[in-house]
Amino acid sequence: MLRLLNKRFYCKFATKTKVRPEKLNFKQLTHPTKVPQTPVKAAFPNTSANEIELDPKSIQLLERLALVDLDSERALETLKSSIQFADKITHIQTDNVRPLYTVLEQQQLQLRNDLVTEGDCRGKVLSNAKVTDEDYFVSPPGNIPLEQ
Amino acid sequence: MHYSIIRRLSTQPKLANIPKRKWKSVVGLEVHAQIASASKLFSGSGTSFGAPLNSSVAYFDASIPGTLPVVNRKCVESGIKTALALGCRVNEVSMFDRKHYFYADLPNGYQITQQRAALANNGIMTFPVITPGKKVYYKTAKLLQLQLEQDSGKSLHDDQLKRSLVDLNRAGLPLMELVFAPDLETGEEAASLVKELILILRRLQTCSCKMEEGALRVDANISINQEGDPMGVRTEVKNIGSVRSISQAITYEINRQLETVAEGGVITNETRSWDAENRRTVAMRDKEVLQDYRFMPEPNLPPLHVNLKPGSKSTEDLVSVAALSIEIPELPEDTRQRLVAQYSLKPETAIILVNEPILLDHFLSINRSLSEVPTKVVYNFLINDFLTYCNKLNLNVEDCSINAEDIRDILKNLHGENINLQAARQLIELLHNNPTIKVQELIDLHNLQQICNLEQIEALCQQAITNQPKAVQQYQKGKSKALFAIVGEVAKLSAQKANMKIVVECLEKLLKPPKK
Repeated sequence: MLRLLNKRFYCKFATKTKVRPEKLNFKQLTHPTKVPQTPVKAAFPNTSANEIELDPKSIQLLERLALVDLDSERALETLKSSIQFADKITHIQTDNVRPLYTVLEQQQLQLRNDLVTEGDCRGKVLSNAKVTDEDYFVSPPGNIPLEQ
Repeated sequence: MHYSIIRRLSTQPKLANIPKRKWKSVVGLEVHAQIASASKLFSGSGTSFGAPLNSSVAYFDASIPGTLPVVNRKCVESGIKTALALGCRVNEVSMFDRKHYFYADLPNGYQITQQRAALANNGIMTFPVITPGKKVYYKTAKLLQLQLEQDSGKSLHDDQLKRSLVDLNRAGLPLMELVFAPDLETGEEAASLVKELILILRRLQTCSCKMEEGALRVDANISINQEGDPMGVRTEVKNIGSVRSISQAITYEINRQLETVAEGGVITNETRSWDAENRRTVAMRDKEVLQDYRFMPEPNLPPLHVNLKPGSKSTEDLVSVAALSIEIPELPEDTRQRLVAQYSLKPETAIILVNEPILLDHFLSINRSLSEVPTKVVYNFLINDFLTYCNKLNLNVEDCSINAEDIRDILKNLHGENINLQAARQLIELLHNNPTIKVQELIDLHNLQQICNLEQIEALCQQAITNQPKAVQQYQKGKSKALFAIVGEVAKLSAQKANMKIVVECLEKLLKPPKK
């Protein structure tokens, strides 16, 4: 898998970094950075007191979208605490701030030449599936016309 | 009670005064065109149609953890070329997004597409609309967006065992999605738009446009509303598999909606599938609740930059739009105008020739190699005889074995008065049935030469005159049209082989009233 990761570096920025054999010291910076070195906790409003309420309909929708079973008390608690944790960012003032989707925005996306270099590994790919039939993956029935 | 009756009566004429408003249909198209490439959009597996099941699948296509997408340069270039040909504004920066839905043939659980910032926007397409029995007219539709995205795998539904069989060969194939504004009104307009799009994409060689292989797929959004009202609730018709089906499916769906409303029903926002066999649309199970695709930026792909500077050159990781714009060939509409200007064709003739690329090739090559034959004879024969013959057999002109050389030989013989038009038509059929035999051999073999020998013709004419005494009498009385009956008789007697020009001259001479 590591080999794959190495092959699939997707931007110039990444390919230019040299792999050093010795153990990396992540605390020590080789390049200047604008990223604050200490987390800015004060900027987050404290939302831990906010009660998270979920109606059964939303829970049902979440279960369907995420394919996760939220029936048990523990699963529901985990979900609520996750929402509470993420809720912090919704209270931050972001008016007139251009959204930053990735720190690599200024980098050029690396392009690959149109050559066939992969594939032909049906055995390996199919070996991940629980049920197969004549080289097909088998799944529960999908979206089919209503009258059938 | 009494009062209410009077009231009702008094409102009656008022209602009748309100003019009945016409219903209008609104059609918008979404086209998915598979970009012609050797490898997939984000992985290095192959794209050939009909490859063994699950063989063109890279680890990335099967969503094996740890794999990452790398964009295929050719797909970006093809997308830009198509965008330029359709008059789009190409965006300097476009971005990739994840569109989530759970589906067995979508191993990642999301599709990588472009939602926030597409490759190109604001294009326009103007195309001739051909409706049988009506005058050809031009229609314009705006192209809202052109985006790059991956295809999903393919599912086969096994009704008996209640399961789906999934082949991932298609998963990750490169697609261009073209979203058109709802500027169309009828099925024919939609079919004509797609027909023109196919011509353009084939010229650009950015898509094979083989609808039977799913390389070009059309979804139609259809709604109806009364004149002056806002647009009605739309339905989406999917699974339209041929140009002919586009017009049929949309016409069916418009009529279904009109009928539903006439019966007091309500149109619901739903996805319907076109059933080509029974020629109707069928509701699909999906979209009972509005889907939440949970779009989010694709974290594994930084934005895609292109170079918009005029005169720039492409570099390793930066595609130049200016460099690509030079590579764009002559587009169908330019060809039509060139044909009209260069050969003084009627616009309708130019449209027919351009819409059948093979016909156009034949026309141009015959014109080059056989300059002595007037162009009018060439296109008339190609359209009225060759194309008509193919249509009669329900045969695609592309699939017809008769090549330009054969047609040139026929026209050469026709122009040299070696054969007549009947024989030329017969030769098309003979060539189609005997693709290995040459035209000259067929003429000899089936004795198709035109009879030009004057004595022979005179003998035939004499025979015809004795066979048609009534027509001769009428003709000599001054009814010149009666001559056609005698000419027809000669044609019959000569097995359609006599040179009609000579026959007419000969008959006129023979039937001339003796000088007094």
